[in-house]
Amino acid sequence: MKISKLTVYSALKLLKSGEMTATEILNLSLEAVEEKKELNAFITTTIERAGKDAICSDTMYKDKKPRLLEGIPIAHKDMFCTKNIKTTAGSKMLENFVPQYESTVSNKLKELGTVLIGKTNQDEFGMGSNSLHSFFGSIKNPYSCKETLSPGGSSGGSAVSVASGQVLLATGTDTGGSIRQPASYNGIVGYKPTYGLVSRWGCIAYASSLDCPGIFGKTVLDTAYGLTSIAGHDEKDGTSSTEEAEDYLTTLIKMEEEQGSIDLKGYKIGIIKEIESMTLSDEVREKLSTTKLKLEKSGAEFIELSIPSLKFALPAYYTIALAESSANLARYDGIRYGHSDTSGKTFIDRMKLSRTQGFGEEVQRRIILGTTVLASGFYDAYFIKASKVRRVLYNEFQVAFKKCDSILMPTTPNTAPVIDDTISPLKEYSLDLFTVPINLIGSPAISIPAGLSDRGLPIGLQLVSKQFEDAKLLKLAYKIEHIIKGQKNDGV
Amino acid sequence: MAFTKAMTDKMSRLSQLELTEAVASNLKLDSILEWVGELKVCDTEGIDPMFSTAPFNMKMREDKKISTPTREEIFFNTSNVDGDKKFFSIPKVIETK
Amino acid sequence: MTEYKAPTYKGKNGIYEVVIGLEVHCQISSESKLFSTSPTTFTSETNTNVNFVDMAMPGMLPVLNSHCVDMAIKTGLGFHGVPQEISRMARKNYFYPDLPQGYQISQADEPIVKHGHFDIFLSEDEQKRITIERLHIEQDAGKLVHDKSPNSSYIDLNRCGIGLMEIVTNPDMRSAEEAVSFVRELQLLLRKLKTCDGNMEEGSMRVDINVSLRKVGESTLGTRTETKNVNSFKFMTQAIDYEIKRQLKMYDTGEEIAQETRLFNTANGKTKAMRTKENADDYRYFPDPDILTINISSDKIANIKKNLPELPLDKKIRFKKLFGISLKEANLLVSNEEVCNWFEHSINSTDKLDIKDRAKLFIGWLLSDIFGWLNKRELKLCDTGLIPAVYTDLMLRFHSKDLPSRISKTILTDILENGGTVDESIKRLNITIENDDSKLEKIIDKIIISSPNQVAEYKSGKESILGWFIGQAMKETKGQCDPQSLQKIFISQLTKITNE
Repeated sequence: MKISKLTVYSALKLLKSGEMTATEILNLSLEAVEEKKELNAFITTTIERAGKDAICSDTMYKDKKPRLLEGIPIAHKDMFCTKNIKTTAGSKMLENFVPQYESTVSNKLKELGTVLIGKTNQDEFGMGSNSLHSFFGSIKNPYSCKETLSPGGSSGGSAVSVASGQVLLATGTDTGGSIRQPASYNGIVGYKPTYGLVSRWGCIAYASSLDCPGIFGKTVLDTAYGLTSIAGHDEKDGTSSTEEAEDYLTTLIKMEEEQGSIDLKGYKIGIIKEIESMTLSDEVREKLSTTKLKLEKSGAEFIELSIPSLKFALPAYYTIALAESSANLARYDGIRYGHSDTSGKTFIDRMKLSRTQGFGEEVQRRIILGTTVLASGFYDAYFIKASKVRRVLYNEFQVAFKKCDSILMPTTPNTAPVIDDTISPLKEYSLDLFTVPINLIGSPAISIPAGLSDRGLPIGLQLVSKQFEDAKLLKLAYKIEHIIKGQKNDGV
Repeated sequence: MAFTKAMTDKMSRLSQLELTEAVASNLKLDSILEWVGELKVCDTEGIDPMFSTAPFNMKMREDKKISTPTREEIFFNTSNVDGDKKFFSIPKVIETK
Repeated sequence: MTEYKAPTYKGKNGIYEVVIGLEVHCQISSESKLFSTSPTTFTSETNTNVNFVDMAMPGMLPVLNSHCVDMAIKTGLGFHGVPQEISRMARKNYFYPDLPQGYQISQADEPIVKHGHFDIFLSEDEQKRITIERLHIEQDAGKLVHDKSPNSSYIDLNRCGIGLMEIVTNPDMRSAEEAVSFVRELQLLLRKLKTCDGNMEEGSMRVDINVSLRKVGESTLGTRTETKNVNSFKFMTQAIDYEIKRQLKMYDTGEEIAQETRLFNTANGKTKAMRTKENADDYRYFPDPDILTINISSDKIANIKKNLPELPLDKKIRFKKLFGISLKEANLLVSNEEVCNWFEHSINSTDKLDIKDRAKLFIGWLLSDIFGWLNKRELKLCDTGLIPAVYTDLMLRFHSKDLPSRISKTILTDILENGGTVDESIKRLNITIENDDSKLEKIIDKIIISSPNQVAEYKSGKESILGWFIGQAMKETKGQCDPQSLQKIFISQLTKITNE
């Protein structure tokens, strides 16, 4: 048995029936971690603690009181603060940071019996789309052959840890596509919940009005397990929704158990016409149209929608995200935690040195730009303008959602790019073309594998729904996943 | 919009980063600023800016105090602490406020 | 009664007036901080009222304290401001060691209260309206400690994150006196509303003073300076006076006045230009994305308004009118809520005497004897055993001459110390009241009979001899009678003899 053959659903079955123990599953996971070390998916592994947790899980099964995810090996993006476990956000700034508190997301998953394998590598502070901007080295896409392929970013390590069969479930954060885009590049499912559905407390901030903690899994059903575990109001996060979280799981488990035939009769799926004329690789374009045909055959009705401002989403997103991040990263002054250079004579010197040494180039770029768009003389023309564009985009999408159940669109304009020196910032930013609009409007979105390109690389498509229609979205995604029968594999 | 030296200086000062001109030019700030400047062609006449997508009202906190972490936890991640471990400590600041 | 006239200042080039606007920072009375659950206690050990939110640990989030919002609205309503149904928190970005987040959460162009006004007394019957631009809420910063080490500054974050209300006035004040009056009146209001303890020496109220000069008759404002963080009325006066002098001199010599932030030196009473924060020339305010719009329903505002107590200024005006007392007396009464309630209780527990006479009687003893006694012992009225009804009883019995003055005062002191009623005190002090006129007459007759020489002197027109007679009677009765009554009886008895 290889862990890559398991899903959360199937593993739970084996655990419940006693065919496997949590310790056995953990060992499979640890074998894979050892075997796939060169992918550099983890910054920190927590093997010792995992062993104890697995033993505890086995006791729970023995006592017939397993929790929802009892014994499931998982990984957390290193943005989630974990008590007494180093949490770096992929940055030299936090190279030695050991939080004395546990993020709401990681705490909820812990309380539900998961076994934490480690903290995954990522772009520094979530800033990047190729996982190149990590102080702990770049991450390799498991689909890489001769050339190293981008695993996507910023949650590259989490995506790779699931795709390469090291864990069954991983958390990520999605500010502009950081879950969906790497999920797409790695041939797995990535779920970005509605903004406000999942607490951000204890999750290191990139851009507060856009940051969404979410889940990677091999299947839609697995991500539903994850979402069910982490959704819900948190009084420690003032932007967390007070609405009760829905049941994301029962319907899906029922469908999985019944194994009945699946169709899309009565579903209206939107297609955005502006995407036609946008930068999009042929292989992704083709996958979108063949998928559309398949879904139509299954009974779905396709509706053409117009989002005229879609092309403004990318610059609006970068303006807002960078502005917010420039302030969010001001707390790293080297005094209370984080990289502290004490060679400077004055406080200002020390702070400047600590920040300049502690932050990588991309982070510094974004801080400078974020500072600029908020500065007097720029604020109205840039930050306020972008915030207005955000509302325009939001309004256009709300009109569109009235006409359909969900919108189908590419997750990324292309398959995983080859990592070389030619990736300029703007080129990197453009990888988020289709993911950032969804963060701007706060909607839930899921990237599901739509099969492989001719070159054998995964292509993901995303489904986007109205805010707080996460349960409906997951149900539709589950159906589409089964209709597409997207290739599920264990990487290379 | 060109990212002038004066701007580089001001922005790095405001963000407390030590940015040499060489580093700054490598950051390609010009091209990015120009790119986000494309927003100006989007018609936003009469539109209010949107700062959050949350469609719900904010839930405020009740005025309840909760016991605070120990000093040990507070100072756990720093060595910038005075000898008695009662304060954060930094080089002498000439008070400017 | 002198009419108030704002001062003017004679310079070489003309006569100037001073224009003053204030920004008053008031710590909100609350259990926990504005955005975190840490306690707000003043006297705690350093860095013990600090949690991970206050020290801006990665991933920590602010959650707005609804009580602080209510207190801000209440205060705003107290100065006739307009609480906003929609307001917003904004980040004010700058780096400083006492500001862990690297930004202060404050409010920019959408404050929680807009407009408002507040009257101050210029003289006994003159009031002046000071208009208020806004009240906004924001976080307090931590404290830097410089005197514990030669090479280091220490940071204490206990204060960091405590809720502040910043009240910004328009430049309506024309003298230090007016500015001090405004802050005094505001302090009374805050204390009455219990929205801030108003303790300036503990820093719960701090004032930034904007001062400029202009020639009398001009309507445009001169260049202003802002003197930061002044924390007593005395220092306010000193800082303003110093700025007036300094700016006047600059106008005289033709120097340009810089619009700058200045620091008040409490040691020499002077202000000094502050070295500007290296990064403080552009605060880059923008809406805080961690905090959603603050929505306050009109019902809620109406409800807070409905439950407002009588405001101190209204109370002063009412007291002056109803009791016919002076502004000074009204100030004294209203400035101490406990005394004020006690006094109202006492004066309202009887309807004997005309209200103005009653007030005069009751206030007289309260402000002199009782205050004197309390001040000497550093006690409060509530620390004593004197309850309002007993005071009323004592005052009325004193007034009707049932109790002579000296005895009344002895009884008052005794009750302040030991409590109880007037009668209990009389018993306790073993006092026999010689106020039975026939008894007194007997004593007086005895004195008259045994003092023929003095009677003769009186007969010859030397009325001052009465004092001697009264003294004898006092001696005889061991002082337990009222000299006024004695005088009355002596005169009547002596007149009888004279006419015989």
